Amino acid sequence: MENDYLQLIMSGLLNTLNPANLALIILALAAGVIVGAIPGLSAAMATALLVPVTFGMDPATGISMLAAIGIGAVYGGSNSAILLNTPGTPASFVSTFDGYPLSQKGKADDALYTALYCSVIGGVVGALGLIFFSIPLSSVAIKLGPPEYFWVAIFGLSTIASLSYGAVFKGMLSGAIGLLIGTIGLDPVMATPRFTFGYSPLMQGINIIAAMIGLFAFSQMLVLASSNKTTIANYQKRKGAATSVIYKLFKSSKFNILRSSFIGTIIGVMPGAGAEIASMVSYNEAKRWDKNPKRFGTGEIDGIVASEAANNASIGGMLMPTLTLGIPGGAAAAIMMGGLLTHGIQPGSKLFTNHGDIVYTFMISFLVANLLLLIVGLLLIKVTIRVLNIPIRFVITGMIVLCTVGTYALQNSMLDVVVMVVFGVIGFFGNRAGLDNAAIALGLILAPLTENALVQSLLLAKSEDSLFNVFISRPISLVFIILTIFTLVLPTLLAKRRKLSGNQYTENNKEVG
Amino acid sequence: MKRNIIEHFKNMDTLLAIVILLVVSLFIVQSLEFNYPSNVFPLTLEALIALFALIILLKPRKIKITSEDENQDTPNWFKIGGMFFGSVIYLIIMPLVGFYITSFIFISFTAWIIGKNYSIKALGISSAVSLMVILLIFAIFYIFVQVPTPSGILL
Repeated sequence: MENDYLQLIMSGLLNTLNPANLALIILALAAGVIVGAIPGLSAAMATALLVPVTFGMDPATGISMLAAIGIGAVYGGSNSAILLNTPGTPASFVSTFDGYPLSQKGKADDALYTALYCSVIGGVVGALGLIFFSIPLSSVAIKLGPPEYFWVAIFGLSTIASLSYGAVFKGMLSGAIGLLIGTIGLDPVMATPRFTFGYSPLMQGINIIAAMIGLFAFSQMLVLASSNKTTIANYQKRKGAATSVIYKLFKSSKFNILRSSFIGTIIGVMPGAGAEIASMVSYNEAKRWDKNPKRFGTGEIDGIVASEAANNASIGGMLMPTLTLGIPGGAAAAIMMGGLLTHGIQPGSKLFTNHGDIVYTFMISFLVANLLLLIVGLLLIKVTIRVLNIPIRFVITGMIVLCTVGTYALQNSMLDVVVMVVFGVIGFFGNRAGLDNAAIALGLILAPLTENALVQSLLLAKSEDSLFNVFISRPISLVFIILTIFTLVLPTLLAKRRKLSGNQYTENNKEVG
Repeated sequence: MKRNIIEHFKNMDTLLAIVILLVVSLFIVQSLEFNYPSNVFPLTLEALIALFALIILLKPRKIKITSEDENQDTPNWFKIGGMFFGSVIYLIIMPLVGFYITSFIFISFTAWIIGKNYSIKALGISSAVSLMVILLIFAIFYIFVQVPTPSGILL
């Protein structure tokens, strides 16, 4: 059995290292980075665009290309998040928190190289998880029911408390607004139309990506237009930035990289959780365990580390239930699954026995694609960073055109474009009034998952006649309840401890003095 | 100066809370028409939003003014208005005329309006850059990726 396993890995490695296969993976990575950097064109869309191209290919090569374009797109999203405060894909919206402030400080290259290295490491950890832990982790994921998902969602929402440092009520208000906006359209359980105000196209609900492009991209363009700057940031090329970032990361962020990669992989395994939640949770953990959490959000490298390692690691995680259970872990994984099906490969428990060679070629290609991202990313950074030197008026207008085409392409709908503009205005004025766009976005993302899980759990509790049994006593739910309490309480405890140790330090210094 | 900034933030909070209370009351009116279980989640959220808005409205404010707040530029409302109305006109005309032609006009004029130089030469530069951008977008979206764009009587 062990020999078979090793043989499959070796055969996968040999198939992957075929020069034609490698060239196609590099092409797909580069295309993914470019598509991912354009707001509205998500990793899922990039993957979907490539599916027809792979029809005539050998299944393993075709699926490897789909994975590569997904990897490239998730990383590419960080480029616009860092340079323009506009996440190219929803997965990279957390990278705006510290990436853009770093660009503003003239350290865009530090931020971009950090994003690249951490994406590569996170991706490699996710790929190793995919190769070695697919089967055991997926068997845990299948045990998650509505109550567990409810607590996963609450755990995700609890990160708002740490996001909104110093303005907790406004942060929670923003999160609740996002959740409420997420309920517009048909109710997920009974299909009742809600909050359409008589306008029937709203029954399809608010498209999350359109809303996020508005909240982050359009509102940011209004912010840039209102400033008196001529370029986005002052940037001067620094020699040796690429290597100095590696040194800094390994000196002070190695635990953060590993922790975030593991968090990303594990959250990726949970169907429906996705790269956005992975990066959010891992950012929150990085902030919580940092000695000086106040630095986060002001241009802290560790913020980018957490977000980028986690979102790329989550792709590997997402593919685990996709391959082993036939349950896609996210939209991009669902499209990859569609790719597998068009090649006549049925994901599920028999996949590894019926198509072991193809599956392992795909897994090894996925690992290699993550490594090749380093080369592709290093070449493309030199091009993308030049956006900082383009006159701001062309960046603003060009971005609005790209946001428009990206949003329209989501569903060929002008309504989505209008939603994008409306959310841009809400984001701009809301931000001026102290609302938190990131918390609104998080609420929007988590609304369907939270409501579905809450309503199903309530119905379950009604049939079992016990709220306690359904919501509290299940072991996995308990773990998430404890984690949520931990998330909410720990920052306060750590702050008190720091304050106390700070006082002691001052007193000791006085004594020494 | 500092006092003005504090007053500004206090007014903003009051305005924010009132706007949110008004909007959420519209949502509550609709939610009361929903049946169980469709109403559970929205009503819970509306109650929370109303509570947070009331806290923001009524709580005694201790506003800390950071150096960032003090250094914040006064927004250039002319540019914001120019960009916003430019975008609205762009979206209205786009389905009639077509994405590429409208985008060319939008970039040319909006870039000119939000720039600092209002000469004819600056408009010429804006138009030239706009043409290059549109050709690039056309090549990527129309020829290579074949992403659908709003189509009108022209391209």
